[in-house]
Amino acid sequence: MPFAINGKGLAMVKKHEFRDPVHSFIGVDAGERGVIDSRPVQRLRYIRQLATSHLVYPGATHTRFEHSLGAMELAGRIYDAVTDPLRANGFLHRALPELRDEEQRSYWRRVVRMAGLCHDLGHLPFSHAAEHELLPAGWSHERLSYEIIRSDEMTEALLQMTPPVRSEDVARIAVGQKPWIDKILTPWETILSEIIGGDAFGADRMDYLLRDSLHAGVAYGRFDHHRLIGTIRILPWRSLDDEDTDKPMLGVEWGGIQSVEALLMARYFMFAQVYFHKIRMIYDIHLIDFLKEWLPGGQFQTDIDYHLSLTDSEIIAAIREAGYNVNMSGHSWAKRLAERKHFRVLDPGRPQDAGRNPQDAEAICRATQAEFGVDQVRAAHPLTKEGELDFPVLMENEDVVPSVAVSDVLSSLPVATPGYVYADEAIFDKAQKWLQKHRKQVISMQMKGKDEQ
Amino acid sequence: MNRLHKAVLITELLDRMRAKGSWAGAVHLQKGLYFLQEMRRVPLGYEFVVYRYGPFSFELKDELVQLRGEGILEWFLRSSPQYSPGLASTPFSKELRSELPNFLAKYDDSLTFVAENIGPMKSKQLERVSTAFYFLTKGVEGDEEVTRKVCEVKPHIPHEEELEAVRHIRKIAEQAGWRPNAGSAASSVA
Repeated sequence: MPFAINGKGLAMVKKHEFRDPVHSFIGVDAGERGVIDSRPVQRLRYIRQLATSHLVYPGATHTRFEHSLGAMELAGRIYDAVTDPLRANGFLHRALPELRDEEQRSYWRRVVRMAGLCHDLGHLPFSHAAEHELLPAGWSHERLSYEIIRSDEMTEALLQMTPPVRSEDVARIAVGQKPWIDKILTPWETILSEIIGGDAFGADRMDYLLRDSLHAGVAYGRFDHHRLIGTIRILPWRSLDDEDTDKPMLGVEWGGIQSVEALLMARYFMFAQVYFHKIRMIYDIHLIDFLKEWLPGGQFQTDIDYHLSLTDSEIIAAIREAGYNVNMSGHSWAKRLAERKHFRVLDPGRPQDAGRNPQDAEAICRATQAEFGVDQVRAAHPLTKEGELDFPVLMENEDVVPSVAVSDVLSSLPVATPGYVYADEAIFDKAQKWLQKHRKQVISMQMKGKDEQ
Repeated sequence: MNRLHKAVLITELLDRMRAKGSWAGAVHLQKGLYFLQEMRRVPLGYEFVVYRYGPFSFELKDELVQLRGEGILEWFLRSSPQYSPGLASTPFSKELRSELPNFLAKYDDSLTFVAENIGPMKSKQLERVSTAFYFLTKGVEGDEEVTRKVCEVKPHIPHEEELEAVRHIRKIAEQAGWRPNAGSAASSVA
């Protein structure tokens, strides 16, 4: 909803505002609005944030577009908090000379906001669900984001801003240091990239936890982000086995430690309850099975025009068509998605065990597939993306200490590491009986086999 | 290399590095595994980038968190709250390793080499030698040129100190039988 305040000498900057369910209003200026109106950003209106989760949580139909606006808004707020001249000190000015220059601070604020807006441009249809198995080796949504931000179209849109913003800067801050980026990030760029994608304080993570929990109707994802952002600082982090190793790093004032604990607990609960939900994960697997058969060559392409032409909408239409047409590629998997006839959980892992063999789910899956057929059994054993919990905390006496050493909550927070095996309803009872009899033997044979490799 | 194999190599290296006096924090373990992969060419499959303390793998960072979740690694808090926590293997990790003696034996020399040569280093030295080695693996030639590259991305390191670090790691690399331009073990699959 655009509005303008002109004349009378009150203000000359044209502003626009978006209503947002998490942040109430998100304001942008005309230059930012131009970037938002670009084809790559508008495409995100048609990419669901949580892939197939709406089949489990009906409200989870929100999109990457609103999340990207939210990430932009939070990135700007975090940037303002950590670059506040009133918080600057000798260490910061030595380690990050960019902080001393008002013009630079202003330029990089725009870069950080645009990086928040553009960090997800490379997402495939259904977001993360289909990424790992359906892109050529060496490619990821981050690499696609990097290439799209540096494309002619985005470069031009960013150069139209006042002052002009370099797409190369936005791309690096949006995705952070990656092996396929030649330039090594400076300490300043590293901090800025962590404002977007950092484990504990990243705008991306903060926004998706708040937004996903709101739309999914899962209250666990909430935390006091206002207090948290107000207490984030750039602090000297020292690897304490040695002297003179201070590095600038995002941390928090002691007064904000409870809000960080709440965020990190929210993160754990959301992974356990939503992102790694057992039924959502089998729907993701059925989706991948469908796409492998439906996509030409069984993979997505990495060409930018091709990427921008595909959204959830095209895939959903294909699923609905293939699900009811036995002659179409991917029919059987599409039918499962269209009619919600997913595989059932055959083996839920054994979370009560103190330790779990990292390969158990895969071993059980392979053995059960050998017995009942490759297309009858699947396994899901996602690797955590919860990130680390260790960051600097500024104590009231101005000491800087590691978070885990001063927070009992953080030092004992668990990590969600599920491992599920699923089977088709048609063989489920037989497979369950077979597995009860052979589970121990399967695990033990696996270890023997692994020792011989 | 599958996750079980990686888990046993990670925990075995951690134990051996600790036995050689390593501080055994995340920085130390990352660097130990970097040298295990890149200098000894153990095909762990991680991709490393230059970060705060030198070569760092985001995938490996996630792997270490996952291993904590699976009860294979755990934190140990130090006696003073000033000190960052270290990483330790669990009894469960020892059980896993005891079932894979032949697999571990294949990498015994490499694990010992890294533990002995890298284990005693502190983070400041690790940053210097590992960043130098990173540029050696990228084909940068000559000690002065490697030093210049390191100091360019890490301007806080004095030139003379870095030059010494370059010479030191080159000697270790020679002992390891490492040769430039022989490829990386990052993308190997075993």
